[in-house]
Amino acid sequence: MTRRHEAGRSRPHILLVLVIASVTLLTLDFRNVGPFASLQTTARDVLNPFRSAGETVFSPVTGAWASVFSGGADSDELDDLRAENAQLRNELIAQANAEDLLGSALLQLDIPYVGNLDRVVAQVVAGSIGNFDDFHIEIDKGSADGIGVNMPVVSEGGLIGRVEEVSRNRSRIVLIVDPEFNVGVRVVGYDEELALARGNRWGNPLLVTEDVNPRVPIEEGVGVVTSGLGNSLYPANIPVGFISEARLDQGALTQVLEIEPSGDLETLRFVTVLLFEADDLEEELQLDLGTNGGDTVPTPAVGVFDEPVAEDETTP
Amino acid sequence: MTAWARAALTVITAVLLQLTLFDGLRVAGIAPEVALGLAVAAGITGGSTNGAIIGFATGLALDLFLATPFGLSALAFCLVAYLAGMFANSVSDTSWVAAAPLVAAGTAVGLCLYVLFGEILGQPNFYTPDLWRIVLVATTIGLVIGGPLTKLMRWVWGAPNRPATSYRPLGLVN
Repeated sequence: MTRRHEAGRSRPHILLVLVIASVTLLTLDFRNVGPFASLQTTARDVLNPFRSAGETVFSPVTGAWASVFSGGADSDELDDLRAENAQLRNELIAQANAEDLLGSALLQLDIPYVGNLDRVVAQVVAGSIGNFDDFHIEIDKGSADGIGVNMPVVSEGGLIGRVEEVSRNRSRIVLIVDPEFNVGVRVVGYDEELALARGNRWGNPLLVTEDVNPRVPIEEGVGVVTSGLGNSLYPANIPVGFISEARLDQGALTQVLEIEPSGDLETLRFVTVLLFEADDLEEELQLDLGTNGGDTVPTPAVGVFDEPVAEDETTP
Repeated sequence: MTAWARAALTVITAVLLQLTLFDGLRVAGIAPEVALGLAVAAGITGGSTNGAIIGFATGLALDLFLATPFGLSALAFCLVAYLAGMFANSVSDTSWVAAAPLVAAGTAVGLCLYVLFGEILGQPNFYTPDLWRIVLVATTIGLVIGGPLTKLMRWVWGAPNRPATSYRPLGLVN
């Protein structure tokens, strides 16, 4: 027999304790305290199987709801066309970039290129959660598959984001459109033009607002790839997008570039996580500098991505 | 089963349902804020202190899966649940039907607190032109789900489901 709970009086000191606890958790999270992060991951790992089971059970309901409110079969067809379009854009950038790199003879360097990087193909299992998190997706692979934080994530069209958080069997990806997302880029055919592009929310092009020489006229439609320089989180030459607009800033001190992402972010079903860590490239570069006299900072060659063929495939 | 065991079960179930079901049942692109509504209902039916504890636990469980700072939902939810409990003290009718507008209003206040704290913490994606649309739609949904959530939390506390005018939720007098 149940006993009525004593709801009773309000006790402000308990509220105070809860507020202090919340602020402490926020502080620990901001400071990225190691054991605290492990605790979060463990808690997620415990709940994730229930979550996955729930997703399986409710997927017919949420799927039907989404179909009704987003166009059903027409929407599927549109998704396929978008994916095909993204693939074609990727090939176009990669081809232009290959011609560019051939000219600079960097292909002669014996460095593994993006296409040979280990990778994990994963299925997108969740989109943004809640109403204030528009720029993340979740995939069904995690640390058990070798995925780590900050690894680049690509789709048929090119770079779509990076791994932000990893659990054992799931990972959260921050998409390239997040306003806090930055990536070092190089304009294909303009080797000197290296800059930082940042996300600019859904429906808007990526923005480059500094470091581009105002005296170098950059054509619209030119491809943009990752620069892979320094401690970049991304290997070089992953297609990022096309220049959709190049204009001088107000003081004419730099060019503002708008980059239309080549990856189609709206219809992601499968993505490829490149098992690349910035340290890997740095070590390889140091080795290579040793054998090449150290004059040139080599750039890994063209990255063209195979279309994912199997959900569980992990290419060595 | 004790009230707190029921409360724990309800919180975990609500958060999992929020993540797996309700997040996919978006209206005009806006997900129902069931977890927040549950915290408010806990405050209305269980009193401000109990509501704050449930709000904190619900927010914390939800924070595990959000990309936003860990502890942000816990902070906003416990505060709004506490406020809901205090407000419920001052109204005479807290039947589950009459509680629905309270849950809806609490949802609106909770979302505003959440965004306010997010802005204070420098989160770039909180205060957007879409905010008022989110608040409006989530509040409207709160009107629909407020009644059932209140009824659920009454069960959690072991409170009688009788017409509200004869029931004072905080153990105060009739």
